[in-house]
Amino acid sequence: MEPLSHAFKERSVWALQDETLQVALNRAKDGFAVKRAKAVGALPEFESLRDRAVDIKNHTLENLDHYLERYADAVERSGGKVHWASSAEDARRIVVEICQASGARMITKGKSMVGEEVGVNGALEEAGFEVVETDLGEYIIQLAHEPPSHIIVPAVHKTRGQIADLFHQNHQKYGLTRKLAEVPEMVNEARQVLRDKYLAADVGITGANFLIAESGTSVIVTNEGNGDLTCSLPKVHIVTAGIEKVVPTAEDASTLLRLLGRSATGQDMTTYTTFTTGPKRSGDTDGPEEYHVVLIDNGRTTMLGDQFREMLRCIRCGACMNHCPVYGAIGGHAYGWVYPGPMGSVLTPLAVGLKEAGNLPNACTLNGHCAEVCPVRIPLPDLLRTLRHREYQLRLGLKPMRWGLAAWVWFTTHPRIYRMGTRVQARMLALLAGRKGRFRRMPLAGSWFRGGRDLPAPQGETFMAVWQRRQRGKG
Amino acid sequence: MNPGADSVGAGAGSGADARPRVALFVTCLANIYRPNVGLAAVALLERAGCTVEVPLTQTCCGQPSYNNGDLDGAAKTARQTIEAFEDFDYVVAPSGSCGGMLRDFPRLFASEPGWQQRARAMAEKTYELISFLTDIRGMTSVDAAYPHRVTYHDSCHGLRALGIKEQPRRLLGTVRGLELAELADSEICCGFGGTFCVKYPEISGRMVSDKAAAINATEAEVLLGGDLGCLLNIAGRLGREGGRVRVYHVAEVLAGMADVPGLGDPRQPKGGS
Amino acid sequence: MSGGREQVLAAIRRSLGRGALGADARAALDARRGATDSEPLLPKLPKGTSAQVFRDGLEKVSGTMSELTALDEVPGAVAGYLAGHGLALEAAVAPSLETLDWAGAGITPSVGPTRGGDFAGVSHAWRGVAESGSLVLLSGPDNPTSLNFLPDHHLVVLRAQDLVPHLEQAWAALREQGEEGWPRTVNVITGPSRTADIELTIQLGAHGPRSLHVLLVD
Repeated sequence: MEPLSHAFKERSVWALQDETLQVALNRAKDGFAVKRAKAVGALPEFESLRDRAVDIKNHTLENLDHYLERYADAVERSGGKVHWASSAEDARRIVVEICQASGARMITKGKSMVGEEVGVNGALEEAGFEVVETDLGEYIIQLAHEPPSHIIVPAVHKTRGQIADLFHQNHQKYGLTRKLAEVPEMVNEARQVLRDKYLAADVGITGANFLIAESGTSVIVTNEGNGDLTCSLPKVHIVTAGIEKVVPTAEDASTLLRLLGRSATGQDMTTYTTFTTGPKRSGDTDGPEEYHVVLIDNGRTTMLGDQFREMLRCIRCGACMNHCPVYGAIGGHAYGWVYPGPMGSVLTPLAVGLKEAGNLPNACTLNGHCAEVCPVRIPLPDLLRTLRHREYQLRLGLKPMRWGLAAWVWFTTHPRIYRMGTRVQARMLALLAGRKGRFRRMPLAGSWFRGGRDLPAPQGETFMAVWQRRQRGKG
Repeated sequence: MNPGADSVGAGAGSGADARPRVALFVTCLANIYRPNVGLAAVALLERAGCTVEVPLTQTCCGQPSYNNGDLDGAAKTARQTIEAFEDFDYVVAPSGSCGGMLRDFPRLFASEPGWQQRARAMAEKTYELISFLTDIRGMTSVDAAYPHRVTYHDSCHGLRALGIKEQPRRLLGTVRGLELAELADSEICCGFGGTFCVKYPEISGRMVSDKAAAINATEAEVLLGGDLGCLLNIAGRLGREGGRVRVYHVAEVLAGMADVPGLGDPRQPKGGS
Repeated sequence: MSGGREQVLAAIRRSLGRGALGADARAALDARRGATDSEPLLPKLPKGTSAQVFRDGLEKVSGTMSELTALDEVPGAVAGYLAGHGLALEAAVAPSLETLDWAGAGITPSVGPTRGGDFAGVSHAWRGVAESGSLVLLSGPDNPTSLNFLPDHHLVVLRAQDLVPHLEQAWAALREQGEEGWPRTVNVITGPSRTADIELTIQLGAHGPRSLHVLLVD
């Protein structure tokens, strides 16, 4: 999709003013963090598992070519076909060609973030296919023609009232005309509508949480079972996966699975963890006849070679955004592309450029909560700071900020002037504030006050002045 | 040691380290806004058996540059700090954020081994004030009274980069009359974030108003914390809302020096006390 | 498509700052026991028999279980379950369970895969995982995958001797089966289908079964 990250500031302000969105976000705010904390607290081995997961990912990335080749060869041995896509464009073309070759009309999709990243849906619709998202959240946002606002719960920004309206508008054609109010009846109605789609689909497209090199297996986790219906009922199954998803063995995947469910939703295991290897075998009475895997680079090999390699450890659990206070305040859409929150603030500028998405790495307080919960210990704040450095080097930031920083550095490297300047500043501000002890406004400092806060005034003297006087008194 | 003074563990009174020379890195914000925090830090360090010195050539920790991508600028400021502080036994800052930055200095000199060595040596003896008092000096109690209901905000950098969580609570637990009401979401960022709060004031404003709501819910009279950046932000919000919660740096209470107006409070007329 | 393969692999090697690995290096990687070349890190399980730990895990995710003493009791237990849920005594049954006396329990079985017309599906698990209360089902002519997902009620026969502490023991056993390699799908199922996509309210039976019942046969 076309990125809208350049408009982050405006979009974040809209988000803060959108009352319905704020209701939805407030509901989500604590739920995830509490569930994760409980699940993690119940597993004493969690920290050692994180270390192990880091080692698994690092080793695999260091030997990525080897494991991808082993994986691809194993897929071919099991009767599947592997396609390699260097770019998003390659990936779209490959998927469309497979669907065209199979004579498909209707395509069901399981949730795939890489699919969103490369824009599979748009390409398929342009080529004349009917595409139906089957993850309930993805289905909802597809009806609303919106991108996901969260990588695990794509429609977390929607309230049940909005969803009821969407169903009411879009389900009339199936003879479902009653306006619903409760969650269970909405889930049931979506189940009913989508059940027919599963059975009618010619192609099913899913993502992959992991790819297992030794056996040529792709792994997906879902709670709904939509991924399974998508990959087992149509006669063609296509897996779209980033190249960083590969791990050597099923045991490696199992270690990561212990972290994924707990980090994402606080579940020990996600309901359905499905290991798929090739098309249906001789004698099988169900399963797809064709099995394709599209391995997607789209910038990942660049990350492998620069300071952002650690980002390739990401297992897309969403814990970083679930614990990010900025995400919690504005939701995912403000970020303007596919991946929101801390991980998105690293990935988006790398994918669409810092010129477009320079705000994202800056819109972070570096509070470190994301890194604290990241199951694969990605140092997200450091990576965001590295992006800020890159932005500074490319001279993309605001000029006044640049001048201000240069002036500050000069000031801090001239201690005598610094002492004098701060002394004047402290006294002036204290004087101007008078008895009130704080400012309600101040020229040139409007941004502070736009945050809806006063500015406390200094006590009047600098510490250095007080200290020097005290030392003189002693001497 | 003064009789009846703060109790300090065995480590403080014996050996070569008996009276370490501690350099106070006072931080820009304490220097300009709140000298009382610096004085409180000095008092606590002295009571913990340290000789406190304040290098006059100190300025800023360099975070404004570091966090806005100007790594060369940050390195320039850092050299200044290293030269001023490297000869002391310890470097102590009444801030987890600035203290954490000093500890990060080696990263700024990846291509300058000489400076990196000096940065590392300094980083290894740099501490945030409260954790230095408890973890290094073995302080277990303070001699202070503060008969108020207080709540505590865990500033993110101290909490996550330096592991400061229990230390201030342990010492606050020994302040006579002090009642600690824990803050819901005490580990969630207040929205300050250095230049973040002026680059994205609307988002920052939302975060600090959430924080203010949580503080008000504790029905505490006083908010304490270990970082003036966060405290200025929160005090600014509480003041705007017209609430009555006063805001102090935790060192001021531990040193028994919270008898001045809190951050953003009206000033007392001259000549009082 | 091989052009794409070589292009991506070359980009990886450029970024890793090396050429293709030699035969020896590749053989060394193949000889490793997983990425870290070490035993898997297995969480310690709570005290109790495997069956107890398994049951606790299953019930935590809203699954249910009854314990039987012989395979012969399965049709009767299925009939009891169906009657208890007010369902007709009909079920789609995996071919591997075809030989049981369904008629004797009053059940009309339809043997083989389902296209969604069945309220209950009965399949058999290859392993059960005590750690998480998960079932491991292998696809094949004997055990069609559709039974696991399309019916509203999924009943699964699991032999107590097939309980393993962790998923890792299942992989080891699968590897021992050798030649044939992996079946088309290995379904690791932990509880009935669920969603929290609307207002984070957990609702069972999103697209798959609304309930999951395990028949543990000793």
